[in-house]
Amino acid sequence: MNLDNLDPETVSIIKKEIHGMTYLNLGGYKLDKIPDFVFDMDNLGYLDLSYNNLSEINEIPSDLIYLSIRYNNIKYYDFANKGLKRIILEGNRINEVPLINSDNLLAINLSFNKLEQFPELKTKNLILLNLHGNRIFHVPDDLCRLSNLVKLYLGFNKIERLPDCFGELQDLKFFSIQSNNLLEIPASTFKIFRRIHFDFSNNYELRTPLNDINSMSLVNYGVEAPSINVYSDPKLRENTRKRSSDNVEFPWEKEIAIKEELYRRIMI
Amino acid sequence: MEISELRGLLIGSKATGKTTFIRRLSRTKKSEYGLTMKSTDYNIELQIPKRDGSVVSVSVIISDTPGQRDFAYQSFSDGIKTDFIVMFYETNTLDTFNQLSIWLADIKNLGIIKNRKLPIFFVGNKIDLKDDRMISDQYIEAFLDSFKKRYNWDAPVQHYFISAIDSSTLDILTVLRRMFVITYKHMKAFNIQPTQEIYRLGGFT
Repeated sequence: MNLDNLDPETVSIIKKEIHGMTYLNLGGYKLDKIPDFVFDMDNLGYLDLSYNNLSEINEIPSDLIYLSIRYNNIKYYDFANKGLKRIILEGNRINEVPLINSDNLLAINLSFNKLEQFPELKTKNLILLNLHGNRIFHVPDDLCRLSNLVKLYLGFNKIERLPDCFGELQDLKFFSIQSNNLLEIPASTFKIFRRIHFDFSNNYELRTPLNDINSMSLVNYGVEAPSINVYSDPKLRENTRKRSSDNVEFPWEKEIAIKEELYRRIMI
Repeated sequence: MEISELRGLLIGSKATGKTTFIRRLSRTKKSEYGLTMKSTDYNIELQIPKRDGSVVSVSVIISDTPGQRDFAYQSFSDGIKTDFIVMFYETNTLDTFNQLSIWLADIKNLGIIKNRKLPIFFVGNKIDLKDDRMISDQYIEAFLDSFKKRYNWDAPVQHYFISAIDSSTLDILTVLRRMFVITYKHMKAFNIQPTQEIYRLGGFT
């Protein structure tokens, strides 16, 4: 394909300038390889190749900071480009990933793949990790080294336990582990419940002392289908209800704002 | 079987225009609402023209749900009922569109929908922001194909580009009318009774 073949209105939708870099969205063009002209583009920062037929990625443009390859047929991605800040590989067929050791990476989305092992991550600046919908059953202690994590999604896996050190993730604000096989929640985790969104729902094997859960504001606990969501500080919830609806501020958003400068350029 | 009332559910990430969409019918100003903190039901009377020229009056009850995930939990924890699902995203960002997949995973996980798929309508809002548009027709087409295959969705799946604030685009009542008719026909064809219960939705984006 080539951009010259497309009508100008379509080109204006799929090619833009964002944050001073070029954004190109080639989603849905049934591509089986990255078109050659993409490599000739100047300052290409954002590339979306979702909903194509790509089965492998050998080389990507060198300036990229954002790469989205959602819903293709990729089985292996080597994470070789060290400049990427955000990579979205959702809905592919990836069953293993190599060591990921780029300090530039801020957000990794490997959701809805076929991963059985938790990826080996040496990415100290990672803010967001999304591993929803894989087949992971073991979460290693190494997870706790990702001290900058703000959002962690582990829902729809087969996880039975969390590492004991989980409470050391000081910056964590959103954590979802819904629809897993959790058996228990490590005691160290309780200390961070008060300041994070925490979703345990649909962990049918979970046996957690109700007293502990109550003290942390139980939102929903059904007997037939235990569905537990534990929220942040009950006082906080009470306060947010009292405030005028269009003027809600959340403390965790302020803390995220500290990382905003890092994060701003990869949200599009 | 005659159906004169159906229930719909608006879901999607925050600030995608769910409330603006439904509130536009009552001509309330944006400043009068703001962040949706709990699920709110709106009862809308629709006039549906029939082939013989007559017009029937039906009502559709739309539950407008919070896009902010923690409020969504609270709203859904009591269980909600619906006959069709309307999923919102905004056409001027990629992220709200990408977040649809997490909402979809939630829906798939709901007991009731495992047994029976509901008609689902994807709505790309804010199409009035032409210069900022990031979701192309091509993208949507490929997304819908991928969605149907992936979820094996045998109930109707439709997509609309709208602007909840600009009346020159597809009229909101027209959209609702189409949703009603498509859901009605689907239910009639498979002899499905109205109002199914959904237990809860969960997950963050």
